[in-house]
Amino acid sequence: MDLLQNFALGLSVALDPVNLLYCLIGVFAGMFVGVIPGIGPMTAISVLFPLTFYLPPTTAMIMLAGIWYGTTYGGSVASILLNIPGTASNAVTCLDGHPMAKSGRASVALLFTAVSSFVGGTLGTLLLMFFAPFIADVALSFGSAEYFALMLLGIVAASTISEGSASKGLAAVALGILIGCVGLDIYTGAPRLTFGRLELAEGVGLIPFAMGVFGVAEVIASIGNVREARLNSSTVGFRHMKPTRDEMRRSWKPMLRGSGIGAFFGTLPGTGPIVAAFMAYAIEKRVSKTPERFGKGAVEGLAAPEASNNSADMTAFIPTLALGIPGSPTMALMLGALIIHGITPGPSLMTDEPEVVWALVLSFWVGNLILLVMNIPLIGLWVRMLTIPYRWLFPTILAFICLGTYAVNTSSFDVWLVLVFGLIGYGMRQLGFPIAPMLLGFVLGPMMEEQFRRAMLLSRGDLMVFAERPISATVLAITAAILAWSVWSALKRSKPLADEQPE
Amino acid sequence: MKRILETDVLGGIVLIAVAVLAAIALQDLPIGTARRMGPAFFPLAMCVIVGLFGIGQLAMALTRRGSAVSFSARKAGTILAGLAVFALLIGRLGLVPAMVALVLTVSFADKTTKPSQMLLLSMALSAVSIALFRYGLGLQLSLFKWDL
Repeated sequence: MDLLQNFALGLSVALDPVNLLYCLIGVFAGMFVGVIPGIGPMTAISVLFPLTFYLPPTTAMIMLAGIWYGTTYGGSVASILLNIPGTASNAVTCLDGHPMAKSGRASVALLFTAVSSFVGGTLGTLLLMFFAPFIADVALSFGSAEYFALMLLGIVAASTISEGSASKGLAAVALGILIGCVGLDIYTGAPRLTFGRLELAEGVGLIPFAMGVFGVAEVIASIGNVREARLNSSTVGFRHMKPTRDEMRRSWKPMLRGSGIGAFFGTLPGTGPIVAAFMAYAIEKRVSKTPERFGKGAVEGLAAPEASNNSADMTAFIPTLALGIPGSPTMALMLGALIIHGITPGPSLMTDEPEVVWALVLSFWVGNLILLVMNIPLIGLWVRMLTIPYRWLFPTILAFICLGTYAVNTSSFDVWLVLVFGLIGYGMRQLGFPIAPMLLGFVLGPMMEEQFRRAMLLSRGDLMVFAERPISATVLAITAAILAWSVWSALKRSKPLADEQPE
Repeated sequence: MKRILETDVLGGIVLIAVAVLAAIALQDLPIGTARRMGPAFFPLAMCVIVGLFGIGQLAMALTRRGSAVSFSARKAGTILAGLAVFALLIGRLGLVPAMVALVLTVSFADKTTKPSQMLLLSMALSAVSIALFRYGLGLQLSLFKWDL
């Protein structure tokens, strides 16, 4: 059977000792950076990127998988122990994870986080392996109009459904696309927005961009705002990790339910892990016989959303791998990293080089497994990490941002770019613009422009081409519906606010 | 009541300014036609969209009361100055001086830091960077040099 063959092929690459070692290093480094309060997974991933730069593509990809899991889990550690959510999906982890930690069961909470992530990740991986080839097959018949429509749907959905105000999200996307336009025009070679700098001819690099808008901006915003950890470290450790039989009995069903919910929301454009985690929590509370325990350290309230967001992460890979269109900002970051390593996901990669795709998928699963294994002996270390004062950590992060960026091209121009984007990122943060959609626009912008121009060239400048092809018309109709819904709900929200809070 | 600069007002102004400035920077490039688009077509379309969102933000800000802009110029300035020092020194004096200068500069952003501790930290970070980037990843990085 094809699927089994692919599975074996991918697993043999992922389990290669050298690859495993780099995956291990990736998980370790990811946890190390991800656990730092105030540093979200996007920052952690961008800071650690340069480490993969000098590796062969497959190994680099596997190390990236490790970094991805490590940072996500590191974020959960900080949420559970300190009640500081690094990301919106971690906010759900805080709801029951932190109460568990306060009642002296932090180790158990961390163990359940790792186990639930693994269960969710495994189910997501299976679905991914099953559905991605099918979608890639369909996608082979897609033309420029379909691709453009799908990308438009992706960015509109991601920026309107996620956090904050929809109009600010959309504005951030447009700004990202505009920044993505910097460089030589693909068709005519004319320099655009390069301000005469030769270094900008190939456009703004993903690394300086991400390091600036996430890394530097987060550091500036969190200096002086990070609470110092006061932990009772005696209750956190290997010996305290054993869950009670009752906790085990109560958690397996929520894990499976959460995985299913996550798998569904992960495939939808724009929803992704955040919505998945919130939905899983809400549903678990609804089906529970004792909903009053939620928010006070119920293990179900931790297991379901953790399984859900991880399962969603994996199924979000389906559009990324099968179509080459990332459904979420984190996926966009991963896609950008893969492209830098010469791996361009999409239907042709799926059919031409299945071994690369399956190695990637399986290495994500192996990364998840390594995380589960490493979690147990290292838990004490992460707890100690949390007690390091921020005044030691922020210069360290900045040092690695600078050196990491510089090392990629040995170019101090890239460090100047980090400075500029750091200022832009911090400014946008303080003005309430979400940063993640800007990255999505930055990565997708050049692709959208290429598909749009090709579609217009083929249709001789007739915009109707997007409406005449059934798939693109349907996708655009959904996009329009999402836009209309977000405008309507914004209007509905702003009215009562103006009346009730005149101040 | 004192007038405050609201985030949505400033946000709108910034968006409009970015759109206008980018459009000015694009003015010498051909727009082309819908059938055969020039290099300026797509970025200009984005300028229009960004500008419209800016106008929208301003309009919304006028109908309701927003929150005041909080922007820590001291923190941002210190951190960015640190990056600038690093960018200036890394190619001229080498890794170790650039690292020490970066750490000492950015440490002013946090009032709880002590210079002696930060000097120690910058030394430790230099050592880790050398081990990681020079020996681990095999990069050619000069530790010290004099190339002004």
